[in-house]
Amino acid sequence: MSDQSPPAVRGYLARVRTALADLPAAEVDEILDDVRPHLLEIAAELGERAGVDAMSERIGTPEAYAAELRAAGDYPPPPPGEETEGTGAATAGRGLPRLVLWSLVACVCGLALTGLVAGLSLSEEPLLALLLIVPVLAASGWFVWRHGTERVADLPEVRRLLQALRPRAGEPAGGLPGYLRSLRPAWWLLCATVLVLFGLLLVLRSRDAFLVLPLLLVLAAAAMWSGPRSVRDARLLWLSLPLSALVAGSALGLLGFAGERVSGNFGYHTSPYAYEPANTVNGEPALFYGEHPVENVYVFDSEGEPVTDVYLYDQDGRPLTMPRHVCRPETGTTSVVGRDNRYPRPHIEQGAYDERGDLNGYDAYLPHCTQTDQVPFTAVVPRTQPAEPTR
Amino acid sequence: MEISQLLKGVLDLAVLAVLRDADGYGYDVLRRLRQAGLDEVGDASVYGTLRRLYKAGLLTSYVMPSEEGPHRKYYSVNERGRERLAESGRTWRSFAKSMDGLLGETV
Repeated sequence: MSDQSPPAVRGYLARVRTALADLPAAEVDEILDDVRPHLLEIAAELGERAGVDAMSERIGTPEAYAAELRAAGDYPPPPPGEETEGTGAATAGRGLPRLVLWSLVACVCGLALTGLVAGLSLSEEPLLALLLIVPVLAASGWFVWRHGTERVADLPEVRRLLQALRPRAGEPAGGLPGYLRSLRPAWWLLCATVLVLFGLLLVLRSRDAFLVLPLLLVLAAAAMWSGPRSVRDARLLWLSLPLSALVAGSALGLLGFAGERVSGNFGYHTSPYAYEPANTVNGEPALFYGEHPVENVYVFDSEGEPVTDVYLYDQDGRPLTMPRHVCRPETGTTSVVGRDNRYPRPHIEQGAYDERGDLNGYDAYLPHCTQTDQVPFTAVVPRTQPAEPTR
Repeated sequence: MEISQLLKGVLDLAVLAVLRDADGYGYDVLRRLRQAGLDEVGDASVYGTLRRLYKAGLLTSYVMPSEEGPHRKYYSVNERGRERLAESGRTWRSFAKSMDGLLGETV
């Protein structure tokens, strides 16, 4: 039955329909046809204010309404497990508890992610996300602190979750869930430890992080306090779950950070020389000009004439030794014949011939290698001499 | 005793009575009951009772288009309904008479 009813009426009727879902659909349609004109009237009277909540104030929640209909109409009681808010008029709809629940879930996810990013980068900046997450979490927590968790626990999604988590009758009480439960006190201690450790690492890394350390200390204390108590007082889950998420995220991030440091640039922030091992080609020391690997060095005199057989050293007298490659004409490949610091090296060109004898053709397969002592370019040496060093 | 509890038992009779003279849709029935002074009757109880009487074959229903909005489903009392009304009415009167007599002595 589609209609142009205002959203409040449609929303109210939808919830009545849900509460009566076990009855034959045709019968429920008949019932709603009876009820609809009345609701339209109420919505019209409420005017601007019309909403499911405002209507619930007038005639009770849709669920209570459905329960009354059921009783008066001699319909069978709802099957067990179905939703009926028989206690009725005082309880508002499920919208708010649902919002509270999902904002908790969102905050838990957000905090895990924040911890992960902060841990991976070992910096305090990602923690700024807390400014966004904490107010939402606080609002959600305020609701359960004031109204208790019953209405949230009453949500069908929560019930299903709790039912899934509850140990089944046949199962032994222990098992993996039981073991995990027994670890809970250790978890809260671990949470506090990770938070303190994380704070100390942040401060070691950057002085600016000293503002974060007290915050993390407070959070560590909160974890130790709220964790064990949240078993008895479910409201504290709004503190302990987000903290657990933050800890799990940052612990994972820190592990990732440590792993990256170990496998990558070893001791990256301890000494500038630590960069050196990266500057190799195939495991051999290599020359670099900026980012570009230097394969060969050509020397020209002031007349622009190439100079051969020069030996290169650095400022400390260390020879700039590199592997020397030569062509193997029989295989068309190159191989290393020792290491020295004599430049320029022969110019080696590698390629392959195809069946017709064309070099680097489309389906070239025969490797080829040529080697020449010629300089592959000419240099124009600047005429202006650099200024003589004054002594 | 709360009026609402008393009402539960006699709501069938009341609904049949307000439909006796003129057909009406659900909200009409509710308004007529209210006008007759039965303020305590719950909205949903009236609609539930209507459906129960209909399923028991005491009412018939038909749909009328409405100018103001969606169509309206009207209920009317059929022959069986009238018989039931007469019968229940007699029961109620004799019951009320006994009660009056009873209360007349004590109150």
